[in-house]
Amino acid sequence: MLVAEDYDDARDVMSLVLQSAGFEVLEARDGIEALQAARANKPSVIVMDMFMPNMDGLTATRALRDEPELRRIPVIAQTAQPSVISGSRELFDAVLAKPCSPDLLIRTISDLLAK
Amino acid sequence: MQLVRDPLLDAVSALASARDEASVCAIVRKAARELSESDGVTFVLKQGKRCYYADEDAIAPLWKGKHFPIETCICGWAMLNKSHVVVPDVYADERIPHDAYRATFVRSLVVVPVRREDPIAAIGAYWADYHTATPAEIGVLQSLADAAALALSNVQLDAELKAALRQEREARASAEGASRLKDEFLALLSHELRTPLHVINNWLWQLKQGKGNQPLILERALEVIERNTALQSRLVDDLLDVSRAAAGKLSIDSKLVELGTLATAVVELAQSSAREKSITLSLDAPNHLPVWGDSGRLQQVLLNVVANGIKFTDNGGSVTVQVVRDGSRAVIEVQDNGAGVPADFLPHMFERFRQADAGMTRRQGGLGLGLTIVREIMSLHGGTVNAHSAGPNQGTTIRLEFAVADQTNAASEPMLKSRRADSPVH
Repeated sequence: MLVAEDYDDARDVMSLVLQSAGFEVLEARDGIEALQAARANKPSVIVMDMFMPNMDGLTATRALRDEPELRRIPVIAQTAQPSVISGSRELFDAVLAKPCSPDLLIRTISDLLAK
Repeated sequence: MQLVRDPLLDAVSALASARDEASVCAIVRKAARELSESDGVTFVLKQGKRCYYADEDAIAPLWKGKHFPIETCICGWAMLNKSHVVVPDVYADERIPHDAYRATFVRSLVVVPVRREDPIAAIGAYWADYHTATPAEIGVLQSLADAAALALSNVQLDAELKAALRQEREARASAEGASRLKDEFLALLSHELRTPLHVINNWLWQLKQGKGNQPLILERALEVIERNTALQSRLVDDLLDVSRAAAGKLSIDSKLVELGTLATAVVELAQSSAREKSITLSLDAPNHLPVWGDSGRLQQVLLNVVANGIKFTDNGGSVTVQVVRDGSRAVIEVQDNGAGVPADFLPHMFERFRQADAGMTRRQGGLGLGLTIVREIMSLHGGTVNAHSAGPNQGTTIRLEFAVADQTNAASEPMLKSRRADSPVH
């Protein structure tokens, strides 16, 4: 599991939440780190924030979809401003608006893994 | 049948398609000379109380480019009297300013007004010898003048129409810009309010799962929840302040405030966030520099400016706060060696909803309201705030300035209070 999120407080607590749900969690602070971590570790799901410095989540997800090795990794967009991806909905396997309950996030991940 | 070329018809049709004053002048000049069979013609425009000799075509120079008072010029006479004028001998006619004619070849003339009902110009024809213009000559010149009047009206209408269109386009662009700025702001507001809420929600879920049993986790949870709650309260406070300011309902409660004491308190408050980024935050302030003001609001102003300095300065940089007296003015300068401000953004720094850094990769959080509130509060104190920056990565200096409160201007305090009818009175 990879969590890409620039806001320290949010990344920190989401890691804890996912760990307590039994997942192994990697962290990235921007789109560039997310791409590097995805290439190096081939996570089974990526939870991607959209507003991030250096490279935003939308750009990072587009880049993922262009790499044959990574294109099939499910990406969940988790954003406080879902309108920014309204035109690129098909890039993502799920879109969750912040604030999002951890229960919903965990259920969404489980569904994607079961596919 | 032979086709006879008619210079008047040619001129009328050329005037119909003229789109600027210069082409009207050129057509009239050429046609008038040809139609009058004179030795020279002028085209004279009425400019307020003066006649302007806009154009001419003559055997020797007349008055092109010159201005004359409308009362002392024969073309002016024709325009004021809305009538043509025939002068067989200029030196025998008292309406003619003889001195202006001595340098010229002119002995006789005829002038017709352009737009007879309310003249805006005149056409003059001149002869080097005695000549009494015939009714036919006057008639053909007057027809040319009437066509010129129509052409000048067209030019004017065309210019007015273009100006109106341009104005309308500009107004629409500016309204669209304002509306876009507002939409962007609302999206940003929603983002900035949801982000801390997301963190708080996730921690609450953790605690509900029983994670609060571990003291270290509980401590972390409370610290993060507290920080994000404070972040949200500040956003809401800022929003309310901006909304009050927009409604003219932001008020201050004035008392004597020692700026040095105020600045010391603010620097102490900001010290922990400076330390987190290893930024050196220093203060230089005199012991005694009183101003009339609302200490809570002034603290809000200075804290905002100092926090901005820290926010926009890289790790290891410096932010200095300097409080000085400059004559009767008290000045606080907050200088950082951080990100600086692009020259094109400087004029917009204090506007609502403005942030230099837009888009999804923007590095700075917040709503872009802080400096708007700073400006509003400073203005309630009769003070000013200005920003200086040599450009990106050149650091920024924010200068706050107001009147020193001492014996010589203590009388100004009640005036300050009465600036707002809704401010509390003590």
